[in-house]
Amino acid sequence: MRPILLLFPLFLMGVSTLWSQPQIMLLRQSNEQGFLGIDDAGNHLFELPPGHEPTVRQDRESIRLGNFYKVNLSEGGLPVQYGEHYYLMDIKGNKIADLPDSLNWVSPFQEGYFRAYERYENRRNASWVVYLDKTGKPCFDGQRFWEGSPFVSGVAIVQPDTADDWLLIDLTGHPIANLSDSIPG
Amino acid sequence: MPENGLWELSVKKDNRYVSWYVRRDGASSANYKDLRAPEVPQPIGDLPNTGLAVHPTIRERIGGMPLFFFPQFYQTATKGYYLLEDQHPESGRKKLVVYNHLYEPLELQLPGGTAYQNLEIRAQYLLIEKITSAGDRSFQFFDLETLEPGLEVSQMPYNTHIDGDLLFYQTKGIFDQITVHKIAKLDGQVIYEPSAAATVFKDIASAKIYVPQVRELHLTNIPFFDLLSLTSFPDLEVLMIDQGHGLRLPAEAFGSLTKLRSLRIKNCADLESLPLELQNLSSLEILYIQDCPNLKAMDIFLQKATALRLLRSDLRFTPAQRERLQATHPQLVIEELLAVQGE
Repeated sequence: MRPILLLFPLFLMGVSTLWSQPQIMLLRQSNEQGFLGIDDAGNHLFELPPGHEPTVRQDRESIRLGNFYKVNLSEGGLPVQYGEHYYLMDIKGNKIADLPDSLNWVSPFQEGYFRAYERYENRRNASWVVYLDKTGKPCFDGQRFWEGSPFVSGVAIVQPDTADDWLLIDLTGHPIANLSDSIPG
Repeated sequence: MPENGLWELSVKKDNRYVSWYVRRDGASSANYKDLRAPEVPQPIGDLPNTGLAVHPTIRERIGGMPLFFFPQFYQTATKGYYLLEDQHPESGRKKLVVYNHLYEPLELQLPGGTAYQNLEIRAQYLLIEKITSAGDRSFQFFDLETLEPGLEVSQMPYNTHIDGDLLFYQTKGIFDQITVHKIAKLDGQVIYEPSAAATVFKDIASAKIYVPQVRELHLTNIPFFDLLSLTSFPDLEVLMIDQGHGLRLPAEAFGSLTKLRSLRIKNCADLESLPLELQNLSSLEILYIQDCPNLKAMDIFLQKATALRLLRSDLRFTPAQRERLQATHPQLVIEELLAVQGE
């Protein structure tokens, strides 16, 4: 199983363009506190209890220390981690769905999907990648991937768990190109 | 998303893992520079079509400018303001001047101001540096819609940040994490400021003003004797003590903190023991201990702190000690600190 797959350099540029879209702000004064969600008029939308950590990055952070985030919830909910458990929350702070405990990380919503890591039972600290819809249900018939990127302009690069191929897939999960010949390994 | 967004794969090549970059059209390379999009000409900026009759000189001055250099402006169907750079005919010095859509320079009269320096246009606001006859400087947001002064701040230090029509007062901690302490609209309306219950107080004297709302105290360089004052904060939930001085924490103070859920103790070189009263706090879930080298018999202390859920520390336990701890505290997560952790 190959170890990492990142989108480069999507993160910085993505964050810088977020402010032009409808979004909310998450604030707290220290990481011992829960986040307060407000809109850009200052209206209080919700309060998360201490220890409930929203996922705001497209890559998994080993340690989360941030006390201020802008997040776009116009299309999908916000993944929140509490202990080992993840759930999805809407812009009013209502829980949309509890996610299975087999997931150990869930990305923010992007282009119609949450990208999640599912524990790989046979190897410690290893995970499959799965894609979830806005309600938290598995997509692509529950297909698992050794690796899977965020969708960017309608495509993602994946390595299905049934083969070592590197594939470009579209938003329906169908392969549109096999890149295995041009990628080593 | 960026037009040139690339995926970075970690792939095995010649028995070692290397980075491999893939473009969304499927092109890939070990060198991401190979995949850069071809250079495209700088897009040319243009004024929006709001139906406003903009003076031809303005169009002439800014016409054909690349977007990157395009001047800041505010324009609606009825008015327009444009920040243009004028050059003094003799000295050659350049200065930013605000013109309206009729190409008339905007004459500002701000209370107390004798000199102004236009800085930028943000949303419908012009940011001006105002200078008084005494030489005092302040920063004024001037509403171009109403032609009225808006938010005025004495300084525009590095810890403020304008985003859209919002002014953020923020500080950066270690690892550059941002904490926002206040958000104001540029018309002066404050839309966020933490309540006393959310504020992190840094000393006991200033916290006492807000009793009983105080929930979080971060105390640095404090004699342990002064912690007796903690009895004044019955609703305290989070306490951090950094560089405390003394052998013992005052037991009387901690017995009263019935809502304390997180205690952090750092850099207390002389501290030898924790008060037994802490073991009885049913609310205390998180204990963080770092650089307290003289703390003794912590495994025995922890066995009786039954509410603890997380111990984050640089304490080292023998396998037998750890086994006993986990037997009595199956829910306790022990995170060993290997490096400096953030606040």
